Amino acid sequence: MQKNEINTTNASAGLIGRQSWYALMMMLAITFAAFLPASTAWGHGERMHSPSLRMRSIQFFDMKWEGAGDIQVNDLVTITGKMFFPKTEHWPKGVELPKVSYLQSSGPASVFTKVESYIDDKPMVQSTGMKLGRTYQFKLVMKARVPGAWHIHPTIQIAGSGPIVGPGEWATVSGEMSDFKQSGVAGIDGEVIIDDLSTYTLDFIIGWHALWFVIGFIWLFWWIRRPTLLPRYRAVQEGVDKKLLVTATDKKMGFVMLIVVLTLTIGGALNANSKHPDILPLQSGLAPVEPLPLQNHGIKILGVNSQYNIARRAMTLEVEVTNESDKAMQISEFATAGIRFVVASDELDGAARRATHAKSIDGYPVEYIREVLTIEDGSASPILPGEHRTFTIVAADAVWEIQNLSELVLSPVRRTGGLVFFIDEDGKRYHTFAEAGTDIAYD
Amino acid sequence: MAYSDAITQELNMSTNEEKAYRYFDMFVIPITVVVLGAAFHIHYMLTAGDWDFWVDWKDRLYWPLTSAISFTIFAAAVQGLFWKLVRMPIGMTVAAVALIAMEWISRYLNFYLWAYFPLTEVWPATWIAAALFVDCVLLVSGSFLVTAMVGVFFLPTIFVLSNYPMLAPFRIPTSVMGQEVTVADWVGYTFQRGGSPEYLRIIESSGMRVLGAETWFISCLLGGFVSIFIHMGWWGIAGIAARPYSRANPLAAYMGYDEPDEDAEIVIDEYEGAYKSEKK
Repeated sequence: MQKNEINTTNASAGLIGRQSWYALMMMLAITFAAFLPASTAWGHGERMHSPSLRMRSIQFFDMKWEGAGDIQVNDLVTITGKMFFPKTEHWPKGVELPKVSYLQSSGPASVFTKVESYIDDKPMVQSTGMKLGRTYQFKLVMKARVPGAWHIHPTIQIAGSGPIVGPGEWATVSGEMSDFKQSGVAGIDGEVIIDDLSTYTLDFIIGWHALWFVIGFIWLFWWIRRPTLLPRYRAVQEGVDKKLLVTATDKKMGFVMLIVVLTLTIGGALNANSKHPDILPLQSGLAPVEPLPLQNHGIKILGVNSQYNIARRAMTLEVEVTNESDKAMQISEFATAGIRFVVASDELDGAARRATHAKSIDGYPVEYIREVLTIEDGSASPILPGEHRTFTIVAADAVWEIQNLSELVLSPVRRTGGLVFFIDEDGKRYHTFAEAGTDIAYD
Repeated sequence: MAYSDAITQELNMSTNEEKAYRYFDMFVIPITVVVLGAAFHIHYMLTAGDWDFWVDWKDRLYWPLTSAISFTIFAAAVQGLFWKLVRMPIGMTVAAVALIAMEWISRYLNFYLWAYFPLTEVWPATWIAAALFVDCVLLVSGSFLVTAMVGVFFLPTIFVLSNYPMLAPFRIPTSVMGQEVTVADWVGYTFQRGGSPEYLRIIESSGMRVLGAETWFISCLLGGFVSIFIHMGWWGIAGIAARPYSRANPLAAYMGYDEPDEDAEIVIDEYEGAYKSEKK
């Protein structure tokens, strides 16, 4: 017997006593730690993706948030913008090709509901496929549901990879969650009025669950009303008459319960079928969308190299640009992972360029825009038609660290990409994509 | 106080002994239900998972199949233990009641209060009717084989039928931006999930596997067929677990005890109760 092998010397007993005490203390500590106040987690991981994925996959731009700011429950926020999908050679290996993609918003859980969503003006109830090297415009209409301060982003979910999150804007929602309503109609002829989708048939669901719980408890009580565990265990082990363990009355109860279960189950299903004869299977499938027409800008851009300087928090991107258009083009912006590095307006030549530039940055969330873009070596002037020039673009700002893009230093893939914007002399704005391997400077 | 229970009388228990066992029941049964429920809940979340979490995952093709397989693994073992140890046909019902109770707690606290998903999107499917059906088949037949071949075979069918009254209102058509979808699709579209968007719903498509209009029926039968073997396997494992084994603790030296002999063997403990001794 195990009991005989126990050493009951004083030393061992003392050891066991101390171990038990430590274990008890640890259990209490863990239990109390679970009740410590925790601050609300506002973020939802938008800065935690690898920089090389964020800078080289989907680039969100020309974003607008209408209705954000201080709003009430049930108010609408409309997010519009464009998404550029870099070409295959630049598309990061760590993200699946966007053959099955889904447009939605990201926020901390379901604090906003999605009312409408469009890509290329097509309703996006279902997923779609995107072409690389092309730009798509999208629109999301969200309705405030939960009071609080929420950061709302557009997001593309890519099958096989997960969400690529665009830039977000803060919305401070006040009011009561209980005031939220998402109404509508359903049924072949719209005969079912849905007052609020978030409570639709909830009483009915709770009622059915409660009914089955009651029947389940009746069954369990029937058995445990008598001495249960140890007497029955002893009876089984010691071979008492089986008719005492399961009596004839028990069997009758079993028949009754079987009839009750089958009657309720089949009757309930038939009743539901008669009430809802016209039902559909869950809907799925890809809805095709078209990208925006290609911009006829005549700019050819090639990333040569890039360098991130840790001490200066500065990214330097060297690009070769050939202007094959008949217009003079000037660099106005480098945008990556939703962060916009723009030149100072007075560095742009011509009123048309300055007006376009000012319009593009007007109202953009301050956390994503920095007027720090410079062109080194004094070559910031517009690139003339037919000219070939190498630009050294420098974006120096702490936002590289704030947005976790400086984590590129620790990334297994040190490559930087982003949109380089040009404005021609007529004020037309064009976007191109450049990408290059990234060196790290430590001083 | 005298008890009139036939089993305790047959075992010649004293009133005090019977009373002590009753107190034991009062403490151990609730603890057993909570522990079983918690363990089953984790298992069910990890295996049936999204099919049970979301109203727009409860499809005709995979939901009956995955749910039944996942449920049977755990519930068959509990049913086997209750039957072999105490000869009570309540194991599956205990597992189902505990699981659904834990699910409601989780859906309310985690999904609704913490993550703001409405309960209409995250209500759990009930298993109690299907579990009662199988337990009653076990009681009436008294046979493990009949329970597996008849009870478990129809387990997914009873599961789907008993949930259908709750699910049917979510399958009626509605229109979202001019597209006809089910109300369940609309719920999933409206109350967004960060990590499980439309493309991740592994739902039936208009392919060969849809099997005409009989998807429910075929899927339930396939789920039942697979579950028969799962039930048999886990009932068998429960049988092994129900046998009281003991062996010398190999870590005894680290716990303050004497080190056991190296050639100590695993032994099956034989129960030698007073009643059995008297019969001998």
